[in-house]
Amino acid sequence: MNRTKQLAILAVLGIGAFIAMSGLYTVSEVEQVIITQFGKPVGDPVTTAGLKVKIPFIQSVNAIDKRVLEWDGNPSDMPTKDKLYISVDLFARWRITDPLQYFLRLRDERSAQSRLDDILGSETRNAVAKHELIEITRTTKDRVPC
Amino acid sequence: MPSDSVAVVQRFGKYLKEVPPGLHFKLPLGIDTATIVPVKRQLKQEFGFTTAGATDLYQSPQPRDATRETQMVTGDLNAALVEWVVQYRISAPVKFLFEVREPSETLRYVSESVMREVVGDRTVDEVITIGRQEIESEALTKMQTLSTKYAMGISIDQVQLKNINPPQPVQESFNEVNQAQQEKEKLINEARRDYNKVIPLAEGEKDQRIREADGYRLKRINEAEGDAARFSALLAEYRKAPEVTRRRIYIETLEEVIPGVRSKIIIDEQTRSILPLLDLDSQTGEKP
Repeated sequence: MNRTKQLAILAVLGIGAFIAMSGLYTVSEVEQVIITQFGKPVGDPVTTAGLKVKIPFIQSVNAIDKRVLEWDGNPSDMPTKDKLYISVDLFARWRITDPLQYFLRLRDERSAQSRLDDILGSETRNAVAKHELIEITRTTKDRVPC
Repeated sequence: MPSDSVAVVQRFGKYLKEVPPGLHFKLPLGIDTATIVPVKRQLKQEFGFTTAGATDLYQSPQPRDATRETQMVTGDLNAALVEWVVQYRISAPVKFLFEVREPSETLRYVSESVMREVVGDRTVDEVITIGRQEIESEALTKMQTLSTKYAMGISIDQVQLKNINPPQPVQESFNEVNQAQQEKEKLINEARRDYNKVIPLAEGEKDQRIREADGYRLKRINEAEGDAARFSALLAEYRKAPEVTRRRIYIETLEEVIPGVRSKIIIDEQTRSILPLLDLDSQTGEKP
């Protein structure tokens, strides 16, 4: 009898601890969190770091990076306005300013990177094709190398 | 904790404090996490070459990037191979950890981009020879501005250019051009030396001739003026007493002339022929 009682108390405590643990989560300095309830985002994104509380089991945590993220394009050949082919190596740095939109539209970083590939790639081609090689090389077209 | 670093402590992921070197305690079980950041260490990144034994993954270029990142286009559309070193420190560990995901990699890209920009604004001659200092300082300021903009928590201490070479296929011709230029200088110097030898001499001679001619001119003018004055005086005398003066001039002239003549024959004024012969026939007018 006593033994069963002890076991029951232990079990209850264990379950309670487990529930408590899953109701808590930490947010690091480098990330922001969107809480989803059965897959639907609820409330504002959590942007401050520290220990937070959520409803256990029902809500889940989706961490999104808050830092400046890297994007590195592969060197690719593209024509300039004076029809010279140049090899352009592009890099970009970006950060997520609207985590909710980011979460709804892109879900994860891999898809964000591939969107950036498309956007930056074609914009670069447009920009390069609008300028002559000399303009791309120098800061301004009129500047005479001294 | 090592003496060249500080540790950034996070409690439940939230930034708590920065602790100096020495022994420190933190709460276990993942409540506190400490990240050690070497703030005092002088870090560097190499571009275009590799020093062996680096522990920092981003210190040396990736093997596939090593030649690519050195190839640059200068402002007069020439190619150059530029190698350089960036020395930096982590000045703000909190920013370094929390603001940018890959600060070191970002710094590499920033540095490469800035160097291309700076080199792209200068001629190949400047890049290879006289403009090095300027490129270093301009690149340094631009890199610092950019890394501040990205909030990387990095402060750039130095940008140093290493070897700057023309591309391999051009190297030989480049040397030849240099030699030719030196040859040109030499020839010019030689010619200048010869010039210096000949021209001042000629100049001196010229001056001397001019002075001589001037003197002669002055002499002639003075003489002529003297003559003219004498003639005028004579004319005045002559006007006063023509007969006497004429006679005097005649005598004076003869005085001058006669000593110059070798033999003098003085003949009576009355004689009609050379021999003082009394020609009776001519008086009678008869022919013998």
